[in-house]
Amino acid sequence: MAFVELKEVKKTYQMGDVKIHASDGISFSLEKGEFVVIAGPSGAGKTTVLNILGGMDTCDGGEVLVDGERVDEFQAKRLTTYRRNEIGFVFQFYNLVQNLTAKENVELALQICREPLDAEQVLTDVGLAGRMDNFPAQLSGGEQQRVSIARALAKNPKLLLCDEPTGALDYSTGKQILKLLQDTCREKGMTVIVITHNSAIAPMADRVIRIKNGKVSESVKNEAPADVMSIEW
Amino acid sequence: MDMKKSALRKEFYREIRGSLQRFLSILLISALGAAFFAGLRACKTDMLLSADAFYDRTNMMDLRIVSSMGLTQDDVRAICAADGVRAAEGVFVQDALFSDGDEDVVVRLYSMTEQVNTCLLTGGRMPQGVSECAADEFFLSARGLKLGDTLQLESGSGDGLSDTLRKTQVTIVGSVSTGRYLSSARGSSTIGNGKVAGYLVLPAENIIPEYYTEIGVLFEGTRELNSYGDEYDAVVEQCMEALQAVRPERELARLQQLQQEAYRGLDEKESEIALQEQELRKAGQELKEAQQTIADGFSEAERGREKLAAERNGLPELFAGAEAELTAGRRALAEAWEKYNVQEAPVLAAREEYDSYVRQLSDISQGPEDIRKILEVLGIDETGIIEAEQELEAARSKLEAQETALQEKEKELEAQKLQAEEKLAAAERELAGTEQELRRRESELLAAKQEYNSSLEENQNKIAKAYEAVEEGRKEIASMEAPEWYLLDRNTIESCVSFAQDADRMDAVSLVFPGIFFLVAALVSLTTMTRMVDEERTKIGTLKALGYGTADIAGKYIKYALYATLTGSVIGVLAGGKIFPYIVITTYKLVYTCLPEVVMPLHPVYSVVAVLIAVLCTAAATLAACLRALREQPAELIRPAAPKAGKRILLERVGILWRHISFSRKATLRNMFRYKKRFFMTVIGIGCCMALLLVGYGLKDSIGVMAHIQYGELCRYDISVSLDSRAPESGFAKQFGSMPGVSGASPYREAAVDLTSGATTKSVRLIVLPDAEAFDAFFVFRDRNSGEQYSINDAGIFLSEKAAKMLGVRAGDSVRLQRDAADFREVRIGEVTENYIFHYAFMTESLYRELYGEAPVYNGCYLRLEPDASEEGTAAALLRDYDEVASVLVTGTLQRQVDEMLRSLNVITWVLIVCAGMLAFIVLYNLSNINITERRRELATLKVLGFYDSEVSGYVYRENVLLTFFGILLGIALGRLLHGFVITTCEVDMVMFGHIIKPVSYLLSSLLTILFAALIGILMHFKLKRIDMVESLKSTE
Repeated sequence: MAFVELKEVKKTYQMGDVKIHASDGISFSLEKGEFVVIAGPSGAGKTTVLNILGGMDTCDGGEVLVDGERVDEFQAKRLTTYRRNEIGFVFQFYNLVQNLTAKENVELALQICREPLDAEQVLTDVGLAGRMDNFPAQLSGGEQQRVSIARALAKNPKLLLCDEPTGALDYSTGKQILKLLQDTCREKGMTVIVITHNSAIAPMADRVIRIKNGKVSESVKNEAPADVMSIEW
Repeated sequence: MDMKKSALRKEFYREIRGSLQRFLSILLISALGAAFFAGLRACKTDMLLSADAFYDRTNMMDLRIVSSMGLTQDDVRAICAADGVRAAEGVFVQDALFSDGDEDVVVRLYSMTEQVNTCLLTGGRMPQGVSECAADEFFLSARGLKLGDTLQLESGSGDGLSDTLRKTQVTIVGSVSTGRYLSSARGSSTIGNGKVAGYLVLPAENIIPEYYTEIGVLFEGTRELNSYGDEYDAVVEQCMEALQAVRPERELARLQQLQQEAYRGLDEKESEIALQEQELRKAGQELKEAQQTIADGFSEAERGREKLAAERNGLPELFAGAEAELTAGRRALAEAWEKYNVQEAPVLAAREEYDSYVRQLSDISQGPEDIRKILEVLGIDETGIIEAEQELEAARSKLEAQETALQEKEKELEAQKLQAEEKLAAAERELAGTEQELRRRESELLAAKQEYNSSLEENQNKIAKAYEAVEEGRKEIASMEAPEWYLLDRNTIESCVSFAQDADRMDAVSLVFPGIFFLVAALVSLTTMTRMVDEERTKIGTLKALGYGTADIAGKYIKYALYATLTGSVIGVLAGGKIFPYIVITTYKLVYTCLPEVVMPLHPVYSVVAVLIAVLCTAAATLAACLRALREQPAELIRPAAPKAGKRILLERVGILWRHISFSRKATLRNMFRYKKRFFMTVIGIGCCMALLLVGYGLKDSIGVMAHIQYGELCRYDISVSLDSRAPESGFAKQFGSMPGVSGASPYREAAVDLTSGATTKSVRLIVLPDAEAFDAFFVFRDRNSGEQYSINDAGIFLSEKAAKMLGVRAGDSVRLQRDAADFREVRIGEVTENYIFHYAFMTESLYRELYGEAPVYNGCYLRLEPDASEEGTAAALLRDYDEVASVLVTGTLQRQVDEMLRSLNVITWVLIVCAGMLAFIVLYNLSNINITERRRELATLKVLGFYDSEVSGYVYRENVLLTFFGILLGIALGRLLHGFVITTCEVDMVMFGHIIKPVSYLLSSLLTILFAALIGILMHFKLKRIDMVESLKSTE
């Protein structure tokens, strides 16, 4: 049975007089421990998928199954619990709390979850052993994203959702972040979903799901994922 | 150029529409600031105007004249004729009692007036008939009386009301109110329980005395003026002078009139006494006469007795002749009988012989004739014998006739004798009766005489004394001093003054609090506009890049703020100027129940000033906010502002402490200090809220504590008796002290003296007690701050705190003590003691002796009662049983009176609580709003991370809780400052308010502040819930 499965997920936004079908019956499934890239152009519905999968939004129709649970049926409170215990989120703009140091940002997440990892260990794992006590403003973009990833990982989630994790980063830093994500997936068996408009990184994924106009246009399992460092874009 | 401007204008209006919430928040805070300023400033004026309108409506006297000897119609006429007097009318006032159940209730009777001090009829009709009356409206409702009820009035002073009222049973036909009594206090009385419960207005027909107790005067031109204004005071003062000119003449006239009346009275009395004297004399005379009559009676009786005796003695003599005659007769008769007997014997013998012859013859049976013939023959002749016998018979019957006559005569004499005897006896009996009667009368007279004699002296003394009294009365009248007029203006009417004081207190409050609101308005505008400018920095940059000038760009924001402020403050002025006075006056009417009107004109000065201040505050704040942004280069402005970097705070350097603070607290602390402007604003806002509350409660504490400490702690006497000059020099304290229920007594001397230090002179009450022990028993002397207790000694006076402060002296200094114009003594101040009401200097008797070389004349007495003794009962007994007691003050009553006054302070407290609540609401709402808006992304991220709603709110609240805590701390400091200011402003010369705020007030204020903050927290929670997590995905722009 698939670890994550979306069946005919629909989401419609009302924008004034216009109805936007952000998700017009998206279906896909993926296995535990896979590194998944969801790719598609802007406005295709990637973020909607992410929101629904991350428990940040509800769908209007269809089913969302994560580890056997019907996430689409969750009430607001259960959704929050779902977010705090089962989902790790990596934002495009890192969304670190400016007022907290790197370590504290990680601790902020650890505060609330059930089986947290050690903050310092996780930060060391993401390569920030020396910058733990720095504030976000004192870190580079890549370092901030590492903190963001550490914050997500420290919660020991079932699913790591990354929204354009390299969108605000330069090329090489972006590569390093993707490497970190891939390594995390490989070494820890973490299921990682990366959402990007950049199809070039698709070869590194175990599975590539392409979305166009609110529908899944292609869902391909990559039998031989490439090492991220070998990919050029 | 025009095109540009019109584009800008369009943008401006869209801006307002687009950010209505922001616009409204500035508008609202300006409205509130202006409303508070205009409204609270207007409160005093409107309160006073309302009272003045009522005074005018009831034609309340500008001045009342009270004389020590009553006033007359002539006085009224003379006053009417004085310059500046519009009307004057006399009124008769007396206190009376009626029983309501078991309770004797004191009512004050006023004669009905037509021009001055007319009543405002609030129900029923004005009294017309002699047995009707109108009653105090408040009194009716307080006593549960209604129109149609009948009261039986009694005088409480022994002499009946019959000299005063024609009808003592009066029916209430109307309810009235008058400007004289605004509050529920009706004054005190010397009868009953000493507390006047209400007043009755009686028609003049029911009132007997022809004099007036007081004359109410209305002056020309005062009606148009506000009676609490300076102009009014000036007019009254001027008119008072005119009356002062009338006064000596009228005082003298009244004296003469009274003297004449008194003389007439004395004359009458004198003739009465003369009459009595005459009667007494006549009674004496009558007694004497009666005695004479009795004596005469006795002597007459004596004479009668003598006469009777004489008569009795004369009786034998009287009958002697007749008896002698009788005796002679008897003797003659006896002689005649002897003679007869002699004559008879031969005849008898002859007869015998003859008869024997006959008998002898008869034996021979011869007839008689024969016999006789025989005998004749014989020579024995019977004829001789018969003849002799016949002769004898004749003699005999003659004698027997004589015998009978004599016997009859004897019988007659005997009868005469008896008659005379009887007559005498009757006369004797009569005499005895007369004598007895006389004796009875004599004893009666004796008793009467005894009585007369025994009371004679007394009566004579009485008369003599009466004469003396009359004489003395004459002397007294001759030496009578002219009555004194007291010209008492409205400042002597209790409710008039206390209302003004309340208005002043309100005013002191109104000076401070609008200031706070404007400060907060400026702060709110500053943060709001800063936020607006920050949000629009790209727009500003774009406009700048396009070539718009600073003035154009800044103008937009200033105009934005100006529009909001102007609209807000105008609304505020209009609404606040009406609402606040209305609320305040209506609330004060809980205390001043009898005030019917609420006058609230718009005050242009306050309004304009309020709008100006509001505009200046926000305009300055806005300018400050956008100038900073405008100084930056367009290129910088177009780029989004870098998020505010996190920083370590000072506290983190104290590693030990920091490590022990929980993680979420650390975040909270950092956040708090990260947004310093917001930090200060929140702290100031909450601080102001707390300060307002603290002042509200503190005001009550300070004024309340005054009565409680003064009468509950510092004065240890329960009753203060003041004595008039008739009091015996000493011993009265002992006398009072032995009354039931009294546990301690000490005489005191109280006198007004002036204390001078440098150029300052202060009038204080000098209290002299016999010794330090007496002081210890009846006073507590202590330092207000340290609580250290002092014991007085003979080395110097103790001076009350405020007097010392006003004189600028301390313990150990010397002051000049002045009894009268020419009597100065230097005296050392031993200690300065805690005291709140009036100014006192305390001195022992020995110090007094040392200073003045004489003993103090004690003119009063402090009493302490047993715990269960009734203060009122003892006070009443003192007044009743001792003539020399001039007045009695019960400490408990004083304390209650002050407590009563405190109730009116609740109004201010409520106003302040409402203000504080609004302030807290505006500030916290605004700031929380901004806080949430600015940190939207951060909060959304927290939500994505899986924070529950309550945890997200908690994350924000922890800051608010801390800010509230700091705010409360600041509020305590600020509140104490403001409290001090308000207290000093409110404080009048004669009292010192306690400069304390009770712990419970701190607690209440804090709790209320926390409550307000919590309410905002609840509101914010819903706002936080609505934050969309999708925000977290957006970029910072």
